[in-house]
Amino acid sequence: MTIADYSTVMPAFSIALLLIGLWGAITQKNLIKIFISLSIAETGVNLLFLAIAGFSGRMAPIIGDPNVTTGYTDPLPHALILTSIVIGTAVTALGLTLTARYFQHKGTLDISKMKELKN
Amino acid sequence: MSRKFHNPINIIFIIVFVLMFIKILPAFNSGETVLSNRAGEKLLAIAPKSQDSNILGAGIPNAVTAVVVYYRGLDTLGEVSVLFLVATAVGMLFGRDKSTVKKETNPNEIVSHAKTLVLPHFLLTGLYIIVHGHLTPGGGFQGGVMAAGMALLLLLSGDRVKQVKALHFLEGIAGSMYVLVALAGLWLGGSFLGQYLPLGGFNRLFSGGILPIIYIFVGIKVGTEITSIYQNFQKEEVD
Repeated sequence: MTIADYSTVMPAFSIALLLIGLWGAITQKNLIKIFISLSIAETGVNLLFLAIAGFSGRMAPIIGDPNVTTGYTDPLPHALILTSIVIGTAVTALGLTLTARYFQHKGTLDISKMKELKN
Repeated sequence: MSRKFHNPINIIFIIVFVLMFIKILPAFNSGETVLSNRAGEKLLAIAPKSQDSNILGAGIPNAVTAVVVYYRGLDTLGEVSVLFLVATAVGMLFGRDKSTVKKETNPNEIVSHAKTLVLPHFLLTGLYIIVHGHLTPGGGFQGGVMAAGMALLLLLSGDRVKQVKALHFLEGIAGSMYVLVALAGLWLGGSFLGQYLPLGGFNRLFSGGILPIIYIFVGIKVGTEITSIYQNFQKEEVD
Protein backbone atom coordinates (compact mmCIF):
# COMPACT_ATOMS: atom_id res chain seq x y z
CA MET A 1 0.00 0.00 0.00
CA THR A 2 1.65 3.16 -1.17
CA ILE A 3 0.55 6.52 0.07
CA ALA A 4 -0.52 7.62 -3.42
CA ASP A 5 -2.83 4.64 -3.68
CA TYR A 6 -6.22 5.64 -5.02
CA SER A 7 -8.19 3.84 -2.32
CA THR A 8 -6.28 5.77 0.35
CA VAL A 9 -6.14 9.24 -1.20
CA MET A 10 -9.82 9.41 -2.08
CA PRO A 11 -11.21 8.58 1.40
CA ALA A 12 -8.62 10.85 3.04
CA PHE A 13 -9.57 13.71 0.73
CA SER A 14 -13.29 13.26 1.38
CA ILE A 15 -12.80 12.99 5.15
CA ALA A 16 -10.74 16.18 5.02
CA LEU A 17 -13.62 17.90 3.20
CA LEU A 18 -16.05 16.59 5.83
CA LEU A 19 -13.88 17.91 8.66
CA ILE A 20 -13.46 21.29 6.93
CA GLY A 21 -17.23 21.55 6.61
CA LEU A 22 -17.86 20.61 10.24
CA TRP A 23 -15.17 23.06 11.31
CA GLY A 24 -16.87 25.86 9.40
CA ALA A 25 -20.30 24.95 10.76
CA ILE A 26 -18.94 25.19 14.31
CA THR A 27 -16.74 28.28 14.03
CA GLN A 28 -18.60 30.56 11.64
CA LYS A 29 -21.00 33.18 12.95
CA ASN A 30 -22.80 34.02 9.73
CA LEU A 31 -25.84 31.86 8.98
CA ILE A 32 -25.21 31.70 5.25
CA LYS A 33 -21.62 30.66 5.84
CA ILE A 34 -22.88 27.92 8.15
CA PHE A 35 -25.09 26.56 5.38
CA ILE A 36 -22.18 26.72 2.92
CA SER A 37 -20.11 24.74 5.45
CA LEU A 38 -22.87 22.16 5.81
CA SER A 39 -22.91 21.78 2.01
CA ILE A 40 -19.15 21.22 1.99
CA ALA A 41 -19.47 18.61 4.74
CA GLU A 42 -22.22 16.89 2.78
CA THR A 43 -20.02 16.82 -0.33
CA GLY A 44 -17.34 15.14 1.78
CA VAL A 45 -19.77 12.43 2.87
CA ASN A 46 -20.91 11.88 -0.72
CA LEU A 47 -17.33 11.53 -1.96
CA LEU A 48 -16.61 9.09 0.88
CA PHE A 49 -19.47 6.90 -0.29
CA LEU A 50 -18.18 7.03 -3.87
CA ALA A 51 -14.74 6.07 -2.58
CA ILE A 52 -16.32 2.99 -0.99
CA ALA A 53 -17.86 2.17 -4.36
CA GLY A 54 -14.29 1.78 -5.61
CA PHE A 55 -14.43 2.98 -9.20
CA SER A 56 -10.72 2.69 -9.84
CA GLY A 57 -10.30 0.84 -13.13
CA ARG A 58 -13.96 -0.11 -13.27
CA MET A 59 -16.72 0.90 -15.62
CA ALA A 60 -19.85 2.86 -14.77
CA PRO A 61 -22.71 0.47 -13.89
CA ILE A 62 -24.39 0.64 -17.30
CA ILE A 63 -24.47 -2.97 -18.34
CA GLY A 64 -23.93 -3.70 -22.01
CA ASP A 65 -24.33 -7.46 -21.98
CA PRO A 66 -26.77 -9.08 -19.54
CA ASN A 67 -24.52 -12.11 -19.17
CA VAL A 68 -21.33 -10.18 -18.24
CA THR A 69 -21.85 -8.33 -14.97
CA THR A 70 -18.34 -8.13 -13.56
CA GLY A 71 -15.94 -5.22 -13.84
CA TYR A 72 -18.54 -2.62 -12.98
CA THR A 73 -18.59 -0.39 -9.93
CA ASP A 74 -20.94 -1.01 -7.04
CA PRO A 75 -24.26 0.67 -7.96
CA LEU A 76 -25.59 0.78 -4.41
CA PRO A 77 -23.54 3.77 -3.12
CA HIS A 78 -24.40 5.69 -6.28
CA ALA A 79 -28.10 5.18 -5.67
CA LEU A 80 -27.75 6.16 -2.01
CA ILE A 81 -25.84 9.31 -2.93
CA LEU A 82 -28.55 10.24 -5.41
CA THR A 83 -30.95 10.30 -2.47
CA SER A 84 -28.45 12.18 -0.33
CA ILE A 85 -27.91 14.93 -2.90
CA VAL A 86 -31.64 15.53 -3.27
CA ILE A 87 -32.16 15.70 0.49
CA GLY A 88 -29.14 18.02 0.77
CA THR A 89 -30.65 20.35 -1.80
CA ALA A 90 -33.93 20.34 0.09
CA VAL A 91 -32.23 21.08 3.41
CA THR A 92 -30.21 23.93 1.90
CA ALA A 93 -33.29 25.46 0.27
CA LEU A 94 -35.31 25.35 3.49
CA GLY A 95 -32.43 26.67 5.57
CA LEU A 96 -31.79 29.59 3.22
CA THR A 97 -35.51 30.36 3.21
CA LEU A 98 -35.59 30.53 7.00
CA THR A 99 -32.41 32.61 6.95
CA ALA A 100 -33.94 35.09 4.51
CA ARG A 101 -37.10 35.41 6.61
CA TYR A 102 -35.04 35.89 9.78
CA PHE A 103 -33.03 38.63 8.10
CA GLN A 104 -36.21 40.41 7.08
CA HIS A 105 -37.44 40.41 10.67
CA LYS A 106 -34.26 41.15 12.59
CA GLY A 107 -31.81 42.58 10.09
CA THR A 108 -28.90 40.43 11.18
CA LEU A 109 -27.36 37.09 10.29
CA ASP A 110 -24.97 36.88 13.25
CA ILE A 111 -25.85 33.87 15.38
CA SER A 112 -24.21 35.39 18.46
CA LYS A 113 -26.86 38.11 18.37
CA MET A 114 -29.77 35.69 18.33
CA LYS A 115 -31.04 35.85 21.86
CA GLU A 116 -34.77 35.35 21.26
CA LEU A 117 -34.93 32.00 22.99
CA LYS A 118 -32.72 33.00 25.91
CA ASN A 119 -34.57 34.12 28.98
CA MET B 1 -13.50 33.14 15.97
CA SER B 2 -9.93 32.52 16.99
CA ARG B 3 -10.58 33.50 20.56
CA LYS B 4 -11.51 30.10 21.90
CA PHE B 5 -9.35 28.23 19.48
CA HIS B 6 -6.34 28.12 21.77
CA ASN B 7 -8.18 25.81 24.08
CA PRO B 8 -6.00 22.67 24.30
CA ILE B 9 -9.06 20.42 24.36
CA ASN B 10 -9.76 21.45 20.76
CA ILE B 11 -6.29 20.38 19.68
CA ILE B 12 -6.67 17.06 21.51
CA PHE B 13 -10.00 16.45 19.78
CA ILE B 14 -8.47 17.17 16.38
CA ILE B 15 -5.62 14.76 17.02
CA VAL B 16 -8.02 12.05 18.19
CA PHE B 17 -10.19 12.54 15.10
CA VAL B 18 -7.22 12.34 12.75
CA LEU B 19 -5.88 9.21 14.45
CA MET B 20 -9.31 7.62 14.31
CA PHE B 21 -9.68 8.21 10.57
CA ILE B 22 -6.14 7.05 9.82
CA LYS B 23 -7.06 3.85 11.65
CA ILE B 24 -10.15 3.44 9.47
CA LEU B 25 -8.36 4.09 6.15
CA PRO B 26 -6.97 0.54 5.53
CA ALA B 27 -10.52 -0.79 5.71
CA PHE B 28 -11.07 0.68 2.26
CA ASN B 29 -8.21 -1.37 0.88
CA SER B 30 -9.42 -4.62 2.35
CA GLY B 31 -12.95 -3.69 1.30
CA GLU B 32 -11.74 -3.83 -2.29
CA THR B 33 -10.89 -7.53 -2.08
CA VAL B 34 -14.27 -8.79 -0.93
CA LEU B 35 -16.18 -6.91 -3.60
CA SER B 36 -17.70 -10.13 -4.88
CA ASN B 37 -19.55 -10.56 -1.59
CA ARG B 38 -21.15 -7.15 -1.66
CA ALA B 39 -24.82 -6.50 -2.14
CA GLY B 40 -23.99 -4.29 -5.10
CA GLU B 41 -22.40 -7.18 -6.97
CA LYS B 42 -25.55 -9.26 -6.55
CA LEU B 43 -27.62 -6.30 -7.69
CA LEU B 44 -25.42 -5.95 -10.77
CA ALA B 45 -25.99 -9.60 -11.56
CA ILE B 46 -29.79 -9.49 -11.33
CA ALA B 47 -30.44 -5.95 -12.63
CA PRO B 48 -30.26 -6.75 -16.38
CA LYS B 49 -31.97 -10.13 -16.10
CA SER B 50 -35.53 -10.66 -17.18
CA GLN B 51 -38.10 -11.66 -14.63
CA ASP B 52 -37.69 -15.37 -14.10
CA SER B 53 -39.46 -17.42 -11.50
CA ASN B 54 -36.90 -16.90 -8.75
CA ILE B 55 -34.91 -13.82 -9.86
CA LEU B 56 -36.52 -10.41 -9.39
CA GLY B 57 -34.81 -8.87 -12.40
CA ALA B 58 -35.37 -5.33 -13.54
CA GLY B 59 -34.41 -5.93 -17.17
CA ILE B 60 -32.66 -2.60 -17.75
CA PRO B 61 -28.97 -1.77 -18.38
CA ASN B 62 -28.61 1.09 -15.87
CA ALA B 63 -28.11 -0.64 -12.53
CA VAL B 64 -28.34 2.61 -10.55
CA THR B 65 -31.81 3.25 -11.94
CA ALA B 66 -32.77 -0.32 -11.13
CA VAL B 67 -31.74 0.22 -7.51
CA VAL B 68 -33.34 3.65 -7.18
CA VAL B 69 -36.66 2.96 -8.86
CA TYR B 70 -37.19 -0.76 -8.44
CA TYR B 71 -35.36 -2.26 -5.47
CA ARG B 72 -35.63 0.92 -3.40
CA GLY B 73 -38.71 2.37 -5.04
CA LEU B 74 -40.50 2.99 -1.76
CA ASP B 75 -37.51 4.98 -0.55
CA THR B 76 -37.62 7.12 -3.69
CA LEU B 77 -41.29 7.81 -3.01
CA GLY B 78 -40.33 9.09 0.44
CA GLU B 79 -37.53 11.17 -1.07
CA VAL B 80 -39.89 12.81 -3.54
CA SER B 81 -42.26 13.46 -0.63
CA VAL B 82 -39.47 15.23 1.26
CA LEU B 83 -38.80 17.43 -1.77
CA PHE B 84 -42.53 18.18 -2.05
CA LEU B 85 -42.64 19.06 1.65
CA VAL B 86 -39.72 21.45 1.27
CA ALA B 87 -41.23 23.11 -1.83
CA THR B 88 -44.47 23.59 0.12
CA ALA B 89 -42.62 24.96 3.14
CA VAL B 90 -40.64 27.43 1.03
CA GLY B 91 -43.86 28.56 -0.64
CA MET B 92 -45.52 28.96 2.73
CA LEU B 93 -42.65 30.94 4.24
CA PHE B 94 -42.37 33.25 1.24
CA GLY B 95 -46.04 33.26 0.32
CA ARG B 96 -47.08 36.11 2.59
CA ASP B 97 -44.06 38.17 1.57
CA LYS B 98 -45.56 41.01 -0.45
CA SER B 99 -42.51 43.28 -0.19
CA THR B 100 -40.90 44.60 -3.35
CA VAL B 101 -37.36 45.37 -4.36
CA LYS B 102 -36.24 48.27 -6.46
CA LYS B 103 -35.13 47.35 -9.94
CA GLU B 104 -31.53 48.39 -10.06
CA THR B 105 -29.64 46.74 -12.86
CA ASN B 106 -30.62 45.85 -16.35
CA PRO B 107 -29.77 42.28 -17.29
CA ASN B 108 -26.87 41.63 -19.55
CA GLU B 109 -27.68 42.10 -23.23
CA ILE B 110 -26.05 38.84 -24.23
CA VAL B 111 -27.92 36.86 -21.58
CA SER B 112 -31.28 38.31 -22.49
CA HIS B 113 -30.79 37.61 -26.18
CA ALA B 114 -29.17 34.20 -25.83
CA LYS B 115 -31.91 32.87 -23.61
CA THR B 116 -34.33 32.31 -26.48
CA LEU B 117 -31.65 30.21 -28.14
CA VAL B 118 -30.62 28.27 -25.05
CA LEU B 119 -33.97 27.65 -23.34
CA PRO B 120 -35.37 25.04 -25.76
CA HIS B 121 -32.12 23.11 -25.57
CA PHE B 122 -32.23 23.18 -21.78
CA LEU B 123 -35.69 21.68 -21.81
CA LEU B 124 -34.89 19.20 -24.56
CA THR B 125 -31.72 17.94 -22.84
CA GLY B 126 -33.58 17.59 -19.57
CA LEU B 127 -36.38 15.63 -21.21
CA TYR B 128 -33.90 13.42 -23.05
CA ILE B 129 -32.11 12.58 -19.81
CA ILE B 130 -35.41 11.83 -18.07
CA VAL B 131 -36.75 9.59 -20.84
CA HIS B 132 -33.48 7.68 -21.26
CA GLY B 133 -32.99 7.28 -17.50
CA HIS B 134 -33.08 3.50 -17.69
CA LEU B 135 -30.58 3.23 -20.56
CA THR B 136 -27.93 5.90 -20.05
CA PRO B 137 -26.48 7.71 -17.03
CA GLY B 138 -29.03 10.13 -15.66
CA GLY B 139 -32.67 9.84 -14.87
CA GLY B 140 -35.59 11.65 -13.35
CA PHE B 141 -33.76 13.59 -10.68
CA GLN B 142 -30.91 14.78 -12.87
CA GLY B 143 -33.06 15.61 -15.86
CA GLY B 144 -35.68 17.30 -13.73
CA VAL B 145 -33.13 19.59 -12.13
CA MET B 146 -31.66 20.31 -15.56
CA ALA B 147 -35.04 21.30 -16.96
CA ALA B 148 -35.63 23.43 -13.88
CA GLY B 149 -32.42 25.29 -14.65
CA MET B 150 -34.51 26.91 -17.36
CA ALA B 151 -36.42 28.83 -14.71
CA LEU B 152 -33.17 29.96 -13.12
CA LEU B 153 -31.90 31.21 -16.48
CA LEU B 154 -35.12 33.16 -16.97
CA LEU B 155 -34.60 34.66 -13.54
CA LEU B 156 -31.03 35.65 -14.40
CA SER B 157 -32.07 37.24 -17.67
CA GLY B 158 -34.45 39.53 -15.81
CA ASP B 159 -37.74 37.95 -16.75
CA ARG B 160 -40.29 37.55 -14.04
CA VAL B 161 -41.52 33.98 -14.01
CA LYS B 162 -45.20 34.00 -13.20
CA GLN B 163 -46.60 31.72 -10.56
CA VAL B 164 -48.31 29.33 -12.89
CA LYS B 165 -51.22 27.29 -11.60
CA ALA B 166 -50.55 24.64 -14.22
CA LEU B 167 -47.16 23.94 -12.65
CA HIS B 168 -48.70 22.97 -9.31
CA PHE B 169 -51.36 20.97 -11.11
CA LEU B 170 -48.68 19.10 -13.07
CA GLU B 171 -46.73 18.44 -9.88
CA GLY B 172 -49.78 17.01 -8.15
CA ILE B 173 -50.68 14.86 -11.15
CA ALA B 174 -47.14 13.45 -11.39
CA GLY B 175 -47.04 12.60 -7.68
CA SER B 176 -50.46 10.94 -7.80
CA MET B 177 -49.56 8.95 -10.90
CA TYR B 178 -46.41 7.65 -9.18
CA VAL B 179 -48.52 6.31 -6.32
CA LEU B 180 -51.22 4.97 -8.65
CA VAL B 181 -48.73 3.14 -10.90
CA ALA B 182 -47.08 1.70 -7.81
CA LEU B 183 -50.41 0.74 -6.23
CA ALA B 184 -51.53 -1.04 -9.40
CA GLY B 185 -48.66 -3.41 -8.73
CA LEU B 186 -50.51 -4.60 -5.62
CA TRP B 187 -53.18 -6.22 -7.79
CA LEU B 188 -51.29 -6.94 -11.00
CA GLY B 189 -47.73 -7.56 -9.86
CA GLY B 190 -48.17 -9.03 -6.41
CA SER B 191 -46.58 -6.22 -4.41
CA PHE B 192 -46.33 -2.46 -4.11
CA LEU B 193 -44.19 -1.30 -7.07
CA GLY B 194 -44.38 -4.80 -8.48
CA GLN B 195 -43.57 -5.29 -12.14
CA TYR B 196 -46.65 -5.95 -14.26
CA LEU B 197 -45.79 -4.59 -17.70
CA PRO B 198 -43.77 -6.58 -20.26
CA LEU B 199 -40.03 -6.02 -19.98
CA GLY B 200 -39.39 -5.82 -23.71
CA GLY B 201 -36.05 -6.15 -25.44
CA PHE B 202 -32.87 -5.42 -23.54
CA ASN B 203 -31.39 -1.93 -24.10
CA ARG B 204 -34.41 -0.64 -26.03
CA LEU B 205 -36.22 2.60 -25.26
CA PHE B 206 -39.53 0.83 -24.65
CA SER B 207 -38.32 -1.69 -22.12
CA GLY B 208 -38.18 -2.14 -18.40
CA GLY B 209 -41.94 -2.25 -17.73
CA ILE B 210 -43.02 0.31 -15.14
CA LEU B 211 -39.51 1.62 -14.37
CA PRO B 212 -39.22 4.28 -17.11
CA ILE B 213 -42.83 5.33 -16.49
CA ILE B 214 -42.17 5.91 -12.81
CA TYR B 215 -38.89 7.71 -13.52
CA ILE B 216 -40.64 10.06 -15.98
CA PHE B 217 -43.16 10.96 -13.28
CA VAL B 218 -40.31 11.51 -10.81
CA GLY B 219 -38.63 13.77 -13.36
CA ILE B 220 -41.76 15.87 -13.89
CA LYS B 221 -42.28 16.17 -10.15
CA VAL B 222 -38.68 17.14 -9.38
CA GLY B 223 -38.58 19.65 -12.24
CA THR B 224 -41.77 21.41 -11.21
CA GLU B 225 -40.79 21.44 -7.53
CA ILE B 226 -37.35 22.94 -8.12
CA THR B 227 -38.93 25.49 -10.47
CA SER B 228 -41.44 26.51 -7.82
CA ILE B 229 -38.63 26.84 -5.24
CA TYR B 230 -36.78 29.16 -7.66
CA GLN B 231 -39.94 31.16 -8.23
CA ASN B 232 -40.54 31.62 -4.54
CA PHE B 233 -37.10 33.15 -4.06
CA GLN B 234 -37.84 36.03 -6.39
CA LYS B 235 -39.60 39.21 -5.39
CA GLU B 236 -41.77 41.70 -7.20
CA GLU B 237 -39.73 44.42 -8.83
CA VAL B 238 -40.76 48.03 -9.12
CA ASP B 239 -39.13 50.53 -11.41
